[in-house]
Amino acid sequence: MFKLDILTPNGVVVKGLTCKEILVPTVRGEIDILEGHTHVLTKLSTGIVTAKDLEGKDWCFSVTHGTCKVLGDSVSILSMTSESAEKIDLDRAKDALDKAEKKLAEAIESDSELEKFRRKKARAEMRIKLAYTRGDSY
Amino acid sequence: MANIKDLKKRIKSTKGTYKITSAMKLVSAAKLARAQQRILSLKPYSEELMKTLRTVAAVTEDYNHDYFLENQENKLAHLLVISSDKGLCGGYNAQLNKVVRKFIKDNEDLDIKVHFIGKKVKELIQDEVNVGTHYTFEKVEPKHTEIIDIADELSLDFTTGEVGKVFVAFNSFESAMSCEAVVNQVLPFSMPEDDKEKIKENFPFDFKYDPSAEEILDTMIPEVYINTVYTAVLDAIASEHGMRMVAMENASKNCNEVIRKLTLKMNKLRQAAITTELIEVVSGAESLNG
Repeated sequence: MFKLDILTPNGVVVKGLTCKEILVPTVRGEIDILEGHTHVLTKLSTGIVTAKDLEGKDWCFSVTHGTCKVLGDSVSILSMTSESAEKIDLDRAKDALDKAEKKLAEAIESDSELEKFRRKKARAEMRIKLAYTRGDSY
Repeated sequence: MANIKDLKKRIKSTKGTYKITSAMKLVSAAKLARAQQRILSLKPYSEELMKTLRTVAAVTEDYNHDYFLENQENKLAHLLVISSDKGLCGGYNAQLNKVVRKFIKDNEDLDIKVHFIGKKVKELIQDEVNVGTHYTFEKVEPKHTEIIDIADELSLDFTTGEVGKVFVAFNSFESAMSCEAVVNQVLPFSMPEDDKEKIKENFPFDFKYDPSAEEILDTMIPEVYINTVYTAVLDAIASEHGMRMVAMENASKNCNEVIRKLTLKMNKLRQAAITTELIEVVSGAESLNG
């Protein structure tokens, strides 16, 4: 049993969530944190953090780049942005994906624009993926 | 001498001003609360970030990052001035302007390019300095991603060696009543100097760094830098609303004072007119009786 904190510059996403298992995406693959895990500091990669609470319920959060620290009975994740699956508006995410795909299909000249829409697309895809972790139907 | 009609007009217009200033005060109070909330939401993140940075720094030796490079030869520098777009906020922009001028004067050996967020200080000093970019945002209040873009732009010039230093000038938020204009150096920066042994003692575990402490520092240091810039922007926003709230409160008080004085003057005049009229009536009656 340990506590999970997810902190971002825009606010605290979750604080002191008691869990028994956490799956964290890192640059070297996903790690599974159970009770008594080694103390570790690692680099996050963009993906979904899945935390199982004491009743076995899954809590999912998106994370982008940042760090994850496991120390004693606390896990703190520092991420540039993070969202909880409960708060995602699936329709909006789908709209955003459509828009980004349409923009990418058009001719884009500047690299920064291209990069911007690629990022938008990746973000929308992740949000949709995250929303499905709630068990919504396709 | 002013007549009653003029005084009435002035009282009415002052009452109008009072309505505006007191409404602005309420709006600023609400905006200040929101700005403070943003600072508070950032706080846990920055604290944890600094704590982690210190622990990682304690175990690494001879670590170097592009952001640490001191280049005394390079006399070019960037200065980002964070002021407001709107006035009516007391000495907010004036005090920042003063500090920026002093800073430029004190660092005559540096060739400073001044970049701006907010147009007020820019309007005051643009004729005297080397003006760089004027950053604007999609909405009134900047988003975190927009600040990252600005911070990246400035740091890119630093890492490519185009400039030797990067500074940020802003009003640091102290309380709703006061703020202080400061100029901080954000690049190059150095690792916090701590008692490394003490930190290591508090870390009796076999701490694992994955992939390596150096690589983690590579990602953390830009985040710390962005965080410094972002904190400055949030501080400046909160200070602006705080200062405006105080300025508008004072203005409302002054309005009340003016209204009180004018009303008194008007009443005196009116009373004098009544008295004169009464005397005329009485003396008229007296003369008839007489």
